[in-house]
Amino acid sequence: MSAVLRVEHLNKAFLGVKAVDEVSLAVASGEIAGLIGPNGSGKSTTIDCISAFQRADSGRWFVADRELTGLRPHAIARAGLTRTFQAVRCYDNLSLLENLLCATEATRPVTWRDAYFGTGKLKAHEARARERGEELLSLVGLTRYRDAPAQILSYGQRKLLALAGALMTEPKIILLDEPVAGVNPTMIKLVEQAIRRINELGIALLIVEHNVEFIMALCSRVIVLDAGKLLAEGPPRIIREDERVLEAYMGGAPVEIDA
Amino acid sequence: MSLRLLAILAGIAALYTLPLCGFSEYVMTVAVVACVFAVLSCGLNLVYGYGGLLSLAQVAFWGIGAYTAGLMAMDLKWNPWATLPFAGLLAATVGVFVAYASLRLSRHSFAIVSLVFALLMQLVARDWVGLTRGALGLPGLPQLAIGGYVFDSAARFFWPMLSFTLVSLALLYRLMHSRIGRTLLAIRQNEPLAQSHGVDALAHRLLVIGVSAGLSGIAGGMFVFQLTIVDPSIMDFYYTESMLIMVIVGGPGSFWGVLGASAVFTVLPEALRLTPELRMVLYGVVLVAAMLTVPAGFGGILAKRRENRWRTQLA
Repeated sequence: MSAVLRVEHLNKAFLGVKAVDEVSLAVASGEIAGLIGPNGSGKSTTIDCISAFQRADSGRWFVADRELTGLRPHAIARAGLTRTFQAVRCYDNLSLLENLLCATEATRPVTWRDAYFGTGKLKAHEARARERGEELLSLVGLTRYRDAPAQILSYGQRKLLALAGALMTEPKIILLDEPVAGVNPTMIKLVEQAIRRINELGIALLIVEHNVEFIMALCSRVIVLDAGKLLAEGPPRIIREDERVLEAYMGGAPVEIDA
Repeated sequence: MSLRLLAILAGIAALYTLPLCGFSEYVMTVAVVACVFAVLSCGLNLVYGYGGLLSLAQVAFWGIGAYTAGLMAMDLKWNPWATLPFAGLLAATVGVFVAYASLRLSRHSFAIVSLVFALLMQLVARDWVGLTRGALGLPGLPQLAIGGYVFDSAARFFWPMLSFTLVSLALLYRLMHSRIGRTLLAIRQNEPLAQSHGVDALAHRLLVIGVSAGLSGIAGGMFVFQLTIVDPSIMDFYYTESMLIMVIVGGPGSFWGVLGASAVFTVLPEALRLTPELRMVLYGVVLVAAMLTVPAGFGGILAKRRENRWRTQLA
């Protein structure tokens, strides 16, 4: 398996409390991997460190064998790793299409000079990006709102827009930080569908999520963190029955919940 | 669209004939100051409205330009015109340096550092007597001239000042409405998201600081050749407050809103014949009232109307 993302011995401590403790993990190209664990287990901190929104204490990480350790967030996005945020983020006053056009900065399409003077090269790029943006809006089902400012969207729709924005960066892998937290059940189905479509484009995903059903349905492999340490990893079926995982979540006795 | 362009060209032509209309020296001085404030406030609009950085140091950049031009003309006996590029360059360099140092922390620290920097520059101007002559300033500066034609009155000086203003405004307008401007709006609205989209926020911010500091510096350099004196009062807090009120009432991020507000807030106090002290009090009141009632300025009211239109349309 060729790994699109490889993380080695990642560490991050807050005032001596180890939030991430020697975590090593890998995501294969074209894979949907889940990253789960109880509250405070270091899931979000892990992806914050990988995407450089927090500074890791130590560790190295690579995307498609290119080392990203120590780069700033925008440079990491340009290298092919982007992310979405738990509290969903959009450019509120820009239209949906403009939201997506801004995301093409990761592909470094034009020079400062082109961008300032609006040269033919810029126009050609913008035309292509516009086309791609419209495709992605239809992929996530937001075409109707193309020219409306992003602030009129509902919470769930904003999550979908964020996914489309991530795709505009032409990533090799996307880290999703709780893509369905606080989203209603109907919208969860739409997000799930969008994620599958993204994956069909050959893009790998690493999903941090509390909604275990959502993870189990989507992911081919699940990585479990507890108290900052890697606890277990494997296919969802195995993880579901892993005693260490049950203990971490339930605090001991395996509890059978009947539907 | 071309009708709008025609209107702008006609307006510019009208402005150029202003000195020929026989207005008093006082009226023309107000017109010159209006040009100066147009550059200063639109420069601050770029930094605050687009870059999302509350810069209280614009007055220091303008003062650095003023002193650079004044000292080069006085001590080095340079032609006043030749000093202007250096006035702009030094202001821009200092601006980028201060911004780089403070933005390593956060954009909030930038606001504080910029205020401290402005106060510090005022002290330097007053207390570094060896270089700046302290509170006495540099009187008897030469005036701008082309061949034998000296721009020795406010009416005559209005032409070069207006020309520089128009060039600056065109440059700023282009920047704000280019792809760079759109990226700046993205950074201002959501910096982490922009970074995750590959936007180098720091580089964009340094660019806007550099551009606005450079233009403010050149404006300061030109203005001292009209005053024919430069002293520490060139860095008075009055300029900062005026710039802020123009940008905030005009609507940060709105080019025409801020330009309009800069004209109104230069002319209005003159028309009302207020003393400078009363003017400051009044500006304070207007600033607070604007923050309470129209926090996004007049430009913001238009944006809100656009949003509401979409809501009803898609409901």
